Amino acid sequence: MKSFTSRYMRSYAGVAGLFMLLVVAAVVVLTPLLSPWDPFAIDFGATTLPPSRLHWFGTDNFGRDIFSRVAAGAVIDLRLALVCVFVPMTMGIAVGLVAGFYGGWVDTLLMRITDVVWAFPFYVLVLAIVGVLGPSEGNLYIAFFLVNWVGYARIVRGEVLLISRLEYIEAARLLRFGGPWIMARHILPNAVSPALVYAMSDAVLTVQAVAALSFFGLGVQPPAPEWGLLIVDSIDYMRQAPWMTLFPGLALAFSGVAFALVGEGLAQTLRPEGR
Amino acid sequence: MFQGIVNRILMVIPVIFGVTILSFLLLQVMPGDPAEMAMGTRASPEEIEVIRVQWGLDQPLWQQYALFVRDCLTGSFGTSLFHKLPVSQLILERLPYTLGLTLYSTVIALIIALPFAIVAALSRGRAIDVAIRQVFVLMLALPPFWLSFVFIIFFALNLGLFPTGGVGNGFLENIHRLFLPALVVGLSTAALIQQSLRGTLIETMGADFIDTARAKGLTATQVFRRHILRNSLISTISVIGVRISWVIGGTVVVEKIFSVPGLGSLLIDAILTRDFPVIRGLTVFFALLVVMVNLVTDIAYAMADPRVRLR
Amino acid sequence: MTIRLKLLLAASVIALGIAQPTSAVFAQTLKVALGDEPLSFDPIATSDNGSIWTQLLIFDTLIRPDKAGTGLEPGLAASWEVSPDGLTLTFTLRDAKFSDGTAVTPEDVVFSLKRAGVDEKSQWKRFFNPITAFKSEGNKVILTLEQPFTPAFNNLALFAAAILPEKLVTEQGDAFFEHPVGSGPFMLSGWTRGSKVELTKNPHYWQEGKPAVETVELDIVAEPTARVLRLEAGEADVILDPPLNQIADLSSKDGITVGSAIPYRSDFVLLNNTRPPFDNVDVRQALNYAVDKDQLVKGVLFDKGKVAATAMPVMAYADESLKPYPYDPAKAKELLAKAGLADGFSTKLLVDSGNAAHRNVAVALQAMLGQVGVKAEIQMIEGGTMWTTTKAGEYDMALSFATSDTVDPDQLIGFLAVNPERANAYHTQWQNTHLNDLYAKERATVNGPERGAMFKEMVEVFKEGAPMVFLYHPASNWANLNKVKGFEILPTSNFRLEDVTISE
Repeated sequence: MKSFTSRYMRSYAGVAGLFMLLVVAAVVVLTPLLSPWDPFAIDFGATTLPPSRLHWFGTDNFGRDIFSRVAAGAVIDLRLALVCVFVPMTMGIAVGLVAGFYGGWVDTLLMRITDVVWAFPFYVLVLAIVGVLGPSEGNLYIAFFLVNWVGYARIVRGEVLLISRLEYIEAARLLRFGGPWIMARHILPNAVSPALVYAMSDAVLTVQAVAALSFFGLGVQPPAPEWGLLIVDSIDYMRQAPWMTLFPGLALAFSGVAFALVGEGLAQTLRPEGR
Repeated sequence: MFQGIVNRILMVIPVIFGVTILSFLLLQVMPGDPAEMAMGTRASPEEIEVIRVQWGLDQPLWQQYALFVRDCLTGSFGTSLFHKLPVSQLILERLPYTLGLTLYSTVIALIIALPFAIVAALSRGRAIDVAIRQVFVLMLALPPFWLSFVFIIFFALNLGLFPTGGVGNGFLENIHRLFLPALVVGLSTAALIQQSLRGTLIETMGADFIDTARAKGLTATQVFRRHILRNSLISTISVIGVRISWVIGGTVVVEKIFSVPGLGSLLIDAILTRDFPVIRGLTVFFALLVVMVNLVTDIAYAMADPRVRLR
Repeated sequence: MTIRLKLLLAASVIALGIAQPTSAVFAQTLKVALGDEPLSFDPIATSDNGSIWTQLLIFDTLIRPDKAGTGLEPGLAASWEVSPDGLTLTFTLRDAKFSDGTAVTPEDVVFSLKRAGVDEKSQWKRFFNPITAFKSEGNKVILTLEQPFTPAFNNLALFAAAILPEKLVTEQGDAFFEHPVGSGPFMLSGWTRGSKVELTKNPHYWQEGKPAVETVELDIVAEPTARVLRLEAGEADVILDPPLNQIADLSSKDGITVGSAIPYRSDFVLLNNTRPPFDNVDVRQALNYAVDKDQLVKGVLFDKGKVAATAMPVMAYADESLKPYPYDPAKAKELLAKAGLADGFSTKLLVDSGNAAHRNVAVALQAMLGQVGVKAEIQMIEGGTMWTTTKAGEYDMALSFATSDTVDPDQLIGFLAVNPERANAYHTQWQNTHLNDLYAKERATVNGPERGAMFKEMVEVFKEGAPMVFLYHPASNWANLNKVKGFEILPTSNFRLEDVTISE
């Protein structure tokens, strides 16, 4: 573990990304303590005010302080991105690993299931789930868990197929090392790196998909200040009050870059020597 | 090899079968009734029941499924409740727009991503590499509906270079009209392509056969073009293949904003009005499309890289 | 790489090349951008706005709502007569032709009305089935009823009673509605589903010298802001429903005029009268006093609408002097205290997540109810499940609205206030036997002051009972380039285009 931390710290990108995420976390924690504005308090006397010393990011069409809302929204978006990437990634890596390593009917079965889910249009699945359970953050998780593991499974399986034909794996097999041991010791570290690269963009895409669902009224529900929703709800104000869309958009982009940098740091750290 | 391809094609059948069952069951548990939504405020419960019978919503589950399978096999995919037309006709009318937009945006994405991926790979780890990659992540992180309106306001309204939306007649007009929507979709696709292409380029540059090629006395440019770039592009295409349903899904929002009558908006409208035959038909159609693209990329991948065998 | 690029290019050439809708460009084209897509042109099998509005441009009805929306005016029927017992309706047809040049005959009328009232495919049967006999005689059509049913006459102005050419419909079947022929001011000349409908002037239209424009293009633009941008870029001459917050800005722009009309629509909060505390009329009235409707109209609708006295739109027989519940939080608290809820209560407010205006209204309502101690949790649900949920009674409060298809108040009062009826007072389960009696009587009374008095009384009872929180009547808004003259949205929410002119 010590070597992991010190190796990670050697990656400039990783450190920068971590720092950016810490900035976001600091804003999330400190804003409720320092800001006088309640992110949900309506004031019809102070609608669509431009950014000022009083309201750093201006106010929206209900006179709510946008800075407090963006800060409160960070919690939702970071949670969504992390949970919706981490859980399906773990599921997908496990499936890909098992399918690729054991091959045969195990592989066929797992990959056909993967194909079915993969072939299913995302929106139909999400809408059905959201329709049955009602649109909410929790139900979005279920939808993403059911869909997002597939990409990882396919990628990891492909990597495993390549790696397991390398001489040292064949050798380990000949030496009758157990399957789980070989997978954990030799294959997993090699196969996981492309999955992490994929996860970088997946985090960003997840938040994007949530925003797109908000566009059709099916994402996180108002008045929750989820960033995508903040932008969708202010599209009509884009020219009158550009700050209403600009700041949530910047927040989205900032954390997107942060995630990408952290992912890169992880990839550099986990990359096996000599590759 | 041939046997492998045949096997792979045969595998498509259970997948499609699985999709039909899954889509059917999902719609069964989906709340909301099309007849009530259309006539709820205007008709009595008994009259709504008559409409439900007309639309076949009252039949037992297995019977509805059998009819659905029959419609899929005859190629009509069912009849839309609201358009009163075969779903296949609706799909065929709109397919060119979605396909055109997807291909157009992929071309734009390749044009944008290719040079930057090469530059980033060649200067790997240096500041320029990091900068390029962060710019592309930024493009991915900007919500497409926001970007769409920014582009319309700036390029269409202020500069007058493009129309604000809609589709036109013929190829050249559509190339002009669909440029902005294709650009919006293309930017995020470009980010994905750049990422994966850079990665594979770096990997290929370190591979053994490249050393062999160099040893044979080929110049650096020759090696790069003939071996490195070629091999990397193949794996990049498989990345696009892996993301194909995402790429198609990515056009949904853009279709709505730019008023492009594509499959994505057909699907969303059908879902919102509970036009079950259209949802089912489109689901199976999308599934076929994704499976085909995956099949083709798998085969192409196997042909290009003998280390991967089709099973 | 270059080969791959070329392949991709070639593929997109083919894909885009196929997408060639038919169209021709004429001078004097009126381009209207709207958000509702027409789905089908079969009048008896449609219920969506896009289809209804387009059908009303292509087809005629015997009678139609006048522009003010308070009465009926001649359509294909030049005149009519209702027998004193209300059982016989006689229409005298005018000399009119379908767009293919053939004359509109009484047989066509009988065929079309039977189709709407008897055909099993008709979704609108209930509006016409009190008519039991159809007869043609010279240039007259005679309809008979077995029992008096006054709304039947008004319902003939409904789009579903559009007059179609019998010969073509029987010959072509469903295919007819792909290339419909009607006697209205325009005929269908092109249709790219999901994108646009092209209409051309009907050369045989019965109103001499109309329509003024040669062709009309109805462009489907789903996003409100995109419609505004289209107008500003000069790519649309008229747009419907610009975003409310942009209307003031639009009206100050050179070359653009905005307009608005209040259609037969009303927005309100349904209260589940079977669930306490909504079973108590004091609580229901308290909520009506607690909502600042003026603020709602000003803050959320940007003044594009008016405060509602009840859920009944201001239409025929309406009592325009009926006052809304005033905003009076003190009175609201008093009534709540009387009901034993001095400290307020907690409840849930159901909102259609796809309705942008309602999302905003919900946020404002939540704040207003909070002032009198009512803690309402906003619960968003997808629009498609709204009806099912309220019908099943699985709600406390639900933000909703109703529109009228006809100029006669019968359709709406039955739906909103009568229980048992179609929806049991729109799923509130509120019941008032006196109102139920009046409803039955009204339907058998011929049009006139006596029937009007019954409606006024019903609306008053409805207001007192407060089964809903009555909110507002939102306006339908439009904006057009100044060169377009004579465009307006009618109280029935549709628009006529035969009087619209474009000056160069």
